[in-house]
Amino acid sequence: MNAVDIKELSHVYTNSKVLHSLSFQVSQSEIFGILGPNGSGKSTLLKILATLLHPTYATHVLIFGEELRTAMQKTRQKMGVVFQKPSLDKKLSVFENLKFQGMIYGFSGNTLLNKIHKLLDAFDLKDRSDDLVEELSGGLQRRVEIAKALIHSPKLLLLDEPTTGLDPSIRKDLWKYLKLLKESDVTCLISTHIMEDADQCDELLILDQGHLLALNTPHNLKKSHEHNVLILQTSDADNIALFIRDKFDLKPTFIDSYLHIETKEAENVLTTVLEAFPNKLSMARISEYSLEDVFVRLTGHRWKT
Amino acid sequence: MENMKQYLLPVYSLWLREIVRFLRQRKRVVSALGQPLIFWALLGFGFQSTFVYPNQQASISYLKYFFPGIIALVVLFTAIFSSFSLIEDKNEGYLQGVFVSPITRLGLVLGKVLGGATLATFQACLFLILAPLVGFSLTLLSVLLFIVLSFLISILLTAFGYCLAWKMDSSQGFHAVMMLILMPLWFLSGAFFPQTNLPWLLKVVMTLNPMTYVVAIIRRVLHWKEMYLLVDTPSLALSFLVILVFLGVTSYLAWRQTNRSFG
Repeated sequence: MNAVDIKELSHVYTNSKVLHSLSFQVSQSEIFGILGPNGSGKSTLLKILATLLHPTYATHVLIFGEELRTAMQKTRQKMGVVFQKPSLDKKLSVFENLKFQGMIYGFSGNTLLNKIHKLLDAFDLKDRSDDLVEELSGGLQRRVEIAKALIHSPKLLLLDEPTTGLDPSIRKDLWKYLKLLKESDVTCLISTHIMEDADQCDELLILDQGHLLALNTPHNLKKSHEHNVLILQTSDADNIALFIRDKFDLKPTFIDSYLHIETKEAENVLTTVLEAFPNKLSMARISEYSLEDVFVRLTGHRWKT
Repeated sequence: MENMKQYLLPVYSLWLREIVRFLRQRKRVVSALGQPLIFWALLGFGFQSTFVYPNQQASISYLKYFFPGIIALVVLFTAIFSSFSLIEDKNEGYLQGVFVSPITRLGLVLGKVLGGATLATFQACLFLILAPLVGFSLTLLSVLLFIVLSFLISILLTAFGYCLAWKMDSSQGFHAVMMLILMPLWFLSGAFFPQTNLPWLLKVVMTLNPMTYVVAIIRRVLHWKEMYLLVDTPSLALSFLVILVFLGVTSYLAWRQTNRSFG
């Protein structure tokens, strides 16, 4: 059984369609990423999955085999949600935040205490248990936020841009915990616009303007383009583009006034261009094919966040 | 039994959170009690010498006359604070975590409203300690009645505040509502002055104002043994009925509003 199984999901806000007939599955115990720039519809998708928004249309939206829209209470019990905007009560301690949330899910007594202590252990929060949340650093607050979402031991964790606004070391820290979760059989569905995050997912869905553009492992997405990218900035772009096209049978493209050439022999192309057009290049760069290039190639427009 | 527990535990969680937060914010405790106390002392002593109660047989001092109104104000202030906390919970994201949990929307309203109402009742009871000082003679029965009724009134006002606050996204907006709706309701409730000898228009407004019945029922319970002295005060039964009706209406509206968002 899949953790999430979506078929033909569309959503329309008053006048604009933000999700266009999405269909995809998320297997159990994987870290599934949804990569898209701002406005791609990933937040809407997450809201629908979190039961905060009714989709305009869907053939089905199944969470562990159960229809989200009809078995809402039941699916809510199986899901934890980490919001982009923190949902912690800053006036309460770490312990109290976990306790009150656990009670909301119907746990009490020793069962609840055990759950809290396990989470405090797992997220290395034991020493800070009695501190008010407002006294914690941003990174620690993020950890408490995830612990809170896990208080009822959900099998599926939804994370809406959990790393936005965090500095790189805290991001790394967060991924450490996500990978631990995966090992304990929790499926993570994470939306992000950060390439480094997307790269760490087991599977990645690329979303742009509500359309599903690609769905594969980050590795395969990049492998299907086994090229490097040569990027040139030049005052004589038209002639250089023609030259490269004729000489190497490649198709240079203009992206924001830069010349992009995808090729296996980027060094060779570059030296040839340098010989033929001395002093015409103001910048040249060879980079490995990245998820960003995948996105650019799929959409034909630049990645904007 | 198990089902009942599953239903009540989430409500209890939200309720308890209100209490814990309140006790942790000393300023709130002080301002919710201090403001009415200052009002009562300043206005009470100010009008003491000129106030004449419109019943010659009863000499009710202004401090005593004003006292039930002040209790209503204590409850009103606490209800207002609890509405602020609802706006805060929405703005600071706390409610997101509640919305995605299996708690029913009714459970959410109950937890929030009962939490605020408990605090309001608690404060009203603290104020009751001052009652004997201004000459009210309390009996066990009247104290018990006072507690029960002030709880009902607290639910009514907290639910009303909840309805007003639900759609607001800033506490500034709620300040305006407070000054334009809530305070005038209190001013024209008989808390300040009796209806006797007022222009007819004001009398009509006061008769239609639900807050009038809130103040009336507190006044009647405090005057339990000398109720016959009161003039131009709605009867116990009528006041009780009005309170029950409005309690039902505001609670229903609070629930319906919450249900509409994120069913």
